[in-house]
Amino acid sequence: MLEVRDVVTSYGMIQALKGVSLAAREGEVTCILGPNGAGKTTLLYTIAGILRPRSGSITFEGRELAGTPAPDVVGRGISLVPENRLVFPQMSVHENLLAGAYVRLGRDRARVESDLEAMFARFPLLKQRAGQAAGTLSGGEQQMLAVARALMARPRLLMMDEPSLGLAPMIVEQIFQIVETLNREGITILLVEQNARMALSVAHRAYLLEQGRIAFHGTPSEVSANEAISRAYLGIKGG
Amino acid sequence: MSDYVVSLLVRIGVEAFVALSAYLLLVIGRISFGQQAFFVIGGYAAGISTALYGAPLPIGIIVGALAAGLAAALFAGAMARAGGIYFAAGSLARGELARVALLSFHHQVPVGADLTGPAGADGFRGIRALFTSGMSVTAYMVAIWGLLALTFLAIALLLRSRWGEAIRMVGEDETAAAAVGVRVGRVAGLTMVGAGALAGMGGGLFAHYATYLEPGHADVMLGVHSLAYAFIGGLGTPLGPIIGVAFDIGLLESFRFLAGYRMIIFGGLVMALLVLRPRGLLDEVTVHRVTRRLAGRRA
Repeated sequence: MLEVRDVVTSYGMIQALKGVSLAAREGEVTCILGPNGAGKTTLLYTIAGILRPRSGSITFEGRELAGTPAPDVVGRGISLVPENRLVFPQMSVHENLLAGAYVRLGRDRARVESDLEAMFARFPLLKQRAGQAAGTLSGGEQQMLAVARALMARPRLLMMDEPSLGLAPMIVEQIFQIVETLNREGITILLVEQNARMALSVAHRAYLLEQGRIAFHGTPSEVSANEAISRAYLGIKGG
Repeated sequence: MSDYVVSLLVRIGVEAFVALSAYLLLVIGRISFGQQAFFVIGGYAAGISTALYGAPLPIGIIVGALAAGLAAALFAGAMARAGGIYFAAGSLARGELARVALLSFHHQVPVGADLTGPAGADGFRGIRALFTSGMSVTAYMVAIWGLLALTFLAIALLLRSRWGEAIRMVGEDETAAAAVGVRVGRVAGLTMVGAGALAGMGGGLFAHYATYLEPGHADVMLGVHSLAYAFIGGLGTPLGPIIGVAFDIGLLESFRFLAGYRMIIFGGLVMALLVLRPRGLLDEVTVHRVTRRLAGRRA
């Protein structure tokens, strides 16, 4: 569904992605693991059109995506749940959700309204908080809102950037349950995580990104079977 | 109405344009210390078109706004994606750039028996279109406030539109705005152009009231005050900056015995507000509550 080939992305002189290739298959959860500064967020921003790749190609559903501006990427069915959630703090929960449907708000008002109702049914907590400023929600609630906001664009591919960041273990469980539910409903998911154990438990395929390059890829069991990787990322002591 | 009250209302009206200009930038999350640049550019352009080339007054005001908008577009081209301290520093430099550039700007042409036009540090005298048009100063003051009311209405409507949603999203979080599909660069850039044009309109209106402009009118204090007006009045509504201006000029200026203490009171007030109400008297929460209550009463 999504194919990234030899993508190079730079910040000025610094190359953050030094030729990354990966694929996310339709209907699967693909996770990208890696330490801080490996380029995970840069990769998602590049796919989302927030950053432009220096070179390489990105195809989505067979069509070229690299260099497409962010609004058109959203329009083509890819949504990003950004790192640190990034809800609009002064806007209400309701306004945040409508913001998620920004690209189709003008032409699709009726569908947006019904999607909004569906979102409130899925996340009753957000309905209770509908009029509240998003900045006053707890971390877990904000993450839920960020996911719901991304879903308001009706994505076929949902990219999530460290959804577990800074959340209590119980909340992390909830978030990953949401990931699984969404995937079962047919949404393809590209998940960036530092919580490798959780990510591998829901993923079909995993990539390891280190210093701007893919260092390893395989199924979750292949990742766990690799001693060096499991020692570094799963905290399992080698024997 | 006494001449004094009229002159006070003209000043409040004119500065309200610059305050609204700074306010618009605050809405997209940018702090500008340099809107005075567009104020003088607008003033000079308006003055040149009426005094040197005989354009009628309304055309002159429009020319001033367009020239300032164009200057803002040039600046936005370079600074639209810069945020935070970089944008603030850039805007401060821009204000000084405009002032210093005008110190060496000479463009005089013979009008009647005299040479008229910008003459560097000596300023730009003889912008007399208002007085040759036969319009009274009181009528001019009413016209300024009419324009201000229209501008206020236009901004209020804009902020309620889909474009306004995008503007607010950019102000709250640019990355999140981009993630939901807002064209951040375009939204920020166009808002900067609009804000520049507004300050320019204020400049054109002021130039024709004062009949005289000089590089000193691009003093940095105008920019700083405009910013403070938005912070005093509140960021929740475009009414905020207008209230800020009215408070500073209307109240503090009219109590003459306060004259020596004016800046102390003004500075103290800004400080107190930043502590007690960091987003101004009419902040988003207050505005939201008031509109809800009004809507509730109507229902």
